[in-house]
Amino acid sequence: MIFSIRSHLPSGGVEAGGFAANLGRAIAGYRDREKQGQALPGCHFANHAERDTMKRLEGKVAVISGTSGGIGAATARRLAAEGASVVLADIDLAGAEATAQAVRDAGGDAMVHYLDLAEEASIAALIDAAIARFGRIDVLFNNAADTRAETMIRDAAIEFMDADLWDGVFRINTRGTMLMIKHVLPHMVRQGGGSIINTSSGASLRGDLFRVAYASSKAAINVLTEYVAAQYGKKGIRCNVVSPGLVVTENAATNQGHNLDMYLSHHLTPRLGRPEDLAAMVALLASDDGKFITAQIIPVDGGISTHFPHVAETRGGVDAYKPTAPEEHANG
Amino acid sequence: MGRLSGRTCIVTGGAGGLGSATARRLCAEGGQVVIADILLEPAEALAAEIRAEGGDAIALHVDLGDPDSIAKLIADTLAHYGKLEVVFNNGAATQSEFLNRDGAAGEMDIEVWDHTFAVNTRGTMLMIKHALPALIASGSGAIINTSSGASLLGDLSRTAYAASKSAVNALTLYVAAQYGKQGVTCNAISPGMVPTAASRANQPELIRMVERHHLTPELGYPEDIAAMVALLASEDGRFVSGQIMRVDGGVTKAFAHVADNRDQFEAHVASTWRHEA
Repeated sequence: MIFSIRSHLPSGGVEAGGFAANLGRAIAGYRDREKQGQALPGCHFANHAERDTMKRLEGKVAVISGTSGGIGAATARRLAAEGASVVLADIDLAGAEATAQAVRDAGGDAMVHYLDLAEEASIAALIDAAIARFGRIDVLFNNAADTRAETMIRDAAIEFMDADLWDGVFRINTRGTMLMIKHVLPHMVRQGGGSIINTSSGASLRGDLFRVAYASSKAAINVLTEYVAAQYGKKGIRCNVVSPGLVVTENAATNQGHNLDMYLSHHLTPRLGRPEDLAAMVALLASDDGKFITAQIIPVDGGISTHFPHVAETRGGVDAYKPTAPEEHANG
Repeated sequence: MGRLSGRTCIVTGGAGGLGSATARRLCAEGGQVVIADILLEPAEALAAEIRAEGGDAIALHVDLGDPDSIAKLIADTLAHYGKLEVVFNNGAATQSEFLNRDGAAGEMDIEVWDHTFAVNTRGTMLMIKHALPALIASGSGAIINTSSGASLLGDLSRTAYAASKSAVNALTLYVAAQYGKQGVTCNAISPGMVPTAASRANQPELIRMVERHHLTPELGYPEDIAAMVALLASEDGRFVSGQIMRVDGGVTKAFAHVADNRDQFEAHVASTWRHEA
């Protein structure tokens, strides 16, 4: 449910009219309230940055796709802070370079490489470059997806589904993820192990109205994950999925995503997600802390997929729920 | 400053395998830990060991089958530390002579069933009930319940245990829905096979049989569970709630025939593609 648009767009390509501006205002408003709510339940901790970082990934090499912002960038910073050398792949090289600079400024080791998930040759070139530079790949975080606004807007009613749009979404999200795994596996088998983490989506777990192609492509990634775990687990390779809830980023965009308060009411947490929430789970899965975890779909989603849909309406007590009638029946 | 700095934690079943590994981990990350167990002596020995290594831990007695004992545990914790942020409900009725009486449904001894639910399910519920005021007051409470793979898939024995843990899963969902907005997360961890050192040494054939159905090269260690508890107990887990986390080497996520087909799969791959390589 996160949309880091720039992960598959040339930088600045999100200007879909007033859409981005409206969304920007909505996010800024939510952020202000969250800031004022420092004293709200669940928001009490010191920032991640204010504590000592664990060093669970010293000497490891991590390839991360979709690193120009959002979850990919936060995860790159976290894995590097825990000691990994990070290979930042993106179709938006300038965005990935900015993330790499942030990693280096914090004392980490990062390289940047172009990646077009639609092309197997591009995927092979990325993995070759990572091996040429570091000689090994311990962690693969498949985070990039086709989240372009122009794709998302047309990905809705099935009766009007454009088959080319469907194919394009699957080509990037599902086939691209499979090919990334295909090209990394020989290296991980040779090394005797590795950890693969795929970004799925809450949309892959439940029915929804918008983004049916996106959701279906992510559901396919869920079962791909179980197959990779079954086929290569005994060779020391683990494969898991993180499934984000609504994660607020600068680049967040959904067809219906302006109403963050509505979405927040359906999460079980006092706040919406942050990229760092996903980065923390990825760091565990990437490290030896996750060595008994494989084939799992792990929601980091504020519990949005774990309760009946009516919970938000009935929170004040079932009797307190007063539906707003669509019309008053004068003859009633 | 570690992730659990300034956080007071209760670990029930704290003297056992998962409990003691988790108590050590939470202390190593800066937490203050109450090691609660029905066996006070080993709990005290562990607390003393942790304190000797510079950690902050105390031992308290709890009988999870006794509601008064649970209320006293929470009261004594608050009396000692003045606050409570994390509860790891890990204690269960797992004494081996008792578990051996928990067989198939057709032969179920009603005393075994009731005692299992009194300790595993009611005990967990009462821990949560009594801890909630302090967890809510803390502004960032975290509840982690130990569930079991037995709550997710059918098996031939330990019917009462499995049903009691399935009830813990549902309890987890409800607590997450009811208290999440007050800053309390609630999750369960479903461990795969985590054999004791004695079992690894004395039952090698059983270990091998179970291991081949896990998707990892090895079975689990208590530290594997402790690592996930530490995440869920810390800021790293603030956006995770209502989950049944399977730290189980994938044993619940692949078809049962995978282990039996593995040689055939490898042979097929070798004969179809390996010669091209």
